[in-house]
Amino acid sequence: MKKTTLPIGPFHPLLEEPEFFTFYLDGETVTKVDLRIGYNHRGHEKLATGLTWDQVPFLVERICGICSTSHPYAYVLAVEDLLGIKAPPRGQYIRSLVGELERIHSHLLWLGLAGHFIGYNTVWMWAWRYREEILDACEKLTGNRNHYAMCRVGGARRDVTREAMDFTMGALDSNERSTKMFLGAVVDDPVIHKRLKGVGVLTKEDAIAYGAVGPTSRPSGVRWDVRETDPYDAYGPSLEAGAWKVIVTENGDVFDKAAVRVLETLESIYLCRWLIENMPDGEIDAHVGNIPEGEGCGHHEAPRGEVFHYVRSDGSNKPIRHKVRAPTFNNLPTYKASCTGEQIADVALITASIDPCYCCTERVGVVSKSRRTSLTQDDLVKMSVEKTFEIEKKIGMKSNLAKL
Amino acid sequence: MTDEEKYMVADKVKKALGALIVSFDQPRPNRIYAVVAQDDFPEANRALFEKLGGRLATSTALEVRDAVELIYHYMLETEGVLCNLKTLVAKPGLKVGSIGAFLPAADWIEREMAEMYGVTFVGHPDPRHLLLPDGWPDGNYPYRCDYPQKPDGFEEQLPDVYQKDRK
Amino acid sequence: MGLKTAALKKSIWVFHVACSPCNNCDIEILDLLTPRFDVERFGIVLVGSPRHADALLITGVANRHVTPRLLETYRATAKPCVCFLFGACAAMGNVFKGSYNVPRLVDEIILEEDPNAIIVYIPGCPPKPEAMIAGVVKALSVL
Repeated sequence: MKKTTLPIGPFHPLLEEPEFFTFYLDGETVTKVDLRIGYNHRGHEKLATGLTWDQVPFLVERICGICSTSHPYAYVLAVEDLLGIKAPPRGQYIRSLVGELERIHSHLLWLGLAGHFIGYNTVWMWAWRYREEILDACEKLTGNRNHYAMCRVGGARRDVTREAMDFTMGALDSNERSTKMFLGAVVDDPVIHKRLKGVGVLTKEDAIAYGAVGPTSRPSGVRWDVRETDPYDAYGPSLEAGAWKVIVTENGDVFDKAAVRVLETLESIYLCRWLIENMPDGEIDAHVGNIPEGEGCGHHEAPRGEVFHYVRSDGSNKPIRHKVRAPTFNNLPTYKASCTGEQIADVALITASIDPCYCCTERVGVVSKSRRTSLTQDDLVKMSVEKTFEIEKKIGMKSNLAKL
Repeated sequence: MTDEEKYMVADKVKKALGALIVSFDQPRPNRIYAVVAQDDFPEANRALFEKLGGRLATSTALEVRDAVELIYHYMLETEGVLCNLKTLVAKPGLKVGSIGAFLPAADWIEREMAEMYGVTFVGHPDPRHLLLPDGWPDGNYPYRCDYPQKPDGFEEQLPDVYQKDRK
Repeated sequence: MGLKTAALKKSIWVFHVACSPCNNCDIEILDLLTPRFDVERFGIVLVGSPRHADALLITGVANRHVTPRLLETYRATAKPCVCFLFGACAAMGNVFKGSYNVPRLVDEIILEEDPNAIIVYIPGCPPKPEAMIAGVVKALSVL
């Protein structure tokens, strides 16, 4: 079997973190996938044992920039689990609000990238333009577009003003209109249907066996959402009040993954509105003192799935063990199930459909029986775009997204 | 599920694990900690996954005085309880049966624990390095307590692939 | 916008090098291409190969695995080139300084390879897109 290697980077124009895939091909079909990560390993867990309990949120925030509040959120939930306390209501609502705003901007970011891979760059530009409104709201609320540093052990770190919340409501209203426009453009579009339906299917059994989480397993009919099963902070009351619901679909292909993300964006918008309207008054911080001996687990539903943190304390001012597990760690191995049997032109889409964050495509190696060639990331994207236009020609109509 | 119902979940877990349990604790309604012996560990994991439908969220390894403690965190989704299965893997052998052999969710996390702590998972289908760079010298386990936070002078131990770039 | 005309004369082509980032700076770099900031109107284009680039946009710390690849990229870029170190990670290591997998900082690595390298530091975590544009303009006006 002759090897075909595609050096796509590690540093390429569109995607961020580096990663190494090897796809074994038989003609145009993928027969086997192998992944190699480690380009992004910086040693967070070892660094955390050298920092005090209140310094760790700043370290874990920088694990990922897009889901930047998810890691501190799960960490403070873990320490609060160890202590057996809950944050005061206003602190809980502030943390949940920031978490949901992050979910909105993260899903819009993904939508832009997905549009780019299918071949509609307008979608990319528009989705990121509408995302800027949410980032403005975050800046008004927290002081920064990303890396908000709003979570602290025992509550929220800073309070939010009435003026900032009113601005956020305005941003949410305008974002709801634009998300509904995207939903309308994607869901009923015949070209998108032909391009994405049935591609990269992850079956329910595989999703359960690999332990996939978040919008990687929910489109396969697996109803796993930490906010619903193990409610924390403001998610319990808001779910009971009917402010939002969990989105689950059945087919497990890339189309469902896209639809789930867009629908979740809408649900997050509704939830953010409810949180702002029902924001309680009072303290934001429980004023935690020393951390006694013990252990605690905390998990939070980040935009990509469940983020899991575990801490162990021996009574001193530093954690002796801090375990971090990002959702993409569980989602990445599902490529073995979802990419096998698919065409190489779809590979760019399938790899993007799980919204990889902790490690992303850096290099892709393609092993083909026939000949030795080299492809780059741009080539893979070009193949994906060409397939879209072929489908448009075959069914004789242009996609709604091209008319945007 | 109410808190009272979550306390009932303990009976379900005890029934699934049966005689394998060495100690059991439910400090809060939604957290269970069960300790089993090193040799019974794969069987206990299989029980939690197959009989109770638990989802393996992740696994943690940490070093204690004479052993490496392994904790496999299972989320019982319908009940909303996180069930943590612990065992102590004795030094210096550090061998335990692999869960990744029958549960794909444990595949990568066992590779990470093996390279960071030096635990050997017997029967693992693919025991390569996951996160550490190519050419990382054997016997160096970064998350162990005796491994320095800032390894000064460690550069010299790394093989030539790094040395040649430094001229 | 108050940009000096000197900056408009040069339309630099940049290659984005993400060493071991948290992606925040990378997303902000891509934000520069989106309609709100739109650096393409200045002629700044993201290229697909370091051989076509006038400047390298380096983000993230350089861990052991990535360091040889970073050096390969630097060697492949035609000199003279400007190395923009975006973000606190690339500029001074941020919170990762001292980790076992991050032995040296990005500027130490590049200066060891080429003592005459032109390096521009743009701190921030992440630097706002306005700060990035301001930093690039300031650097180009001095060069």
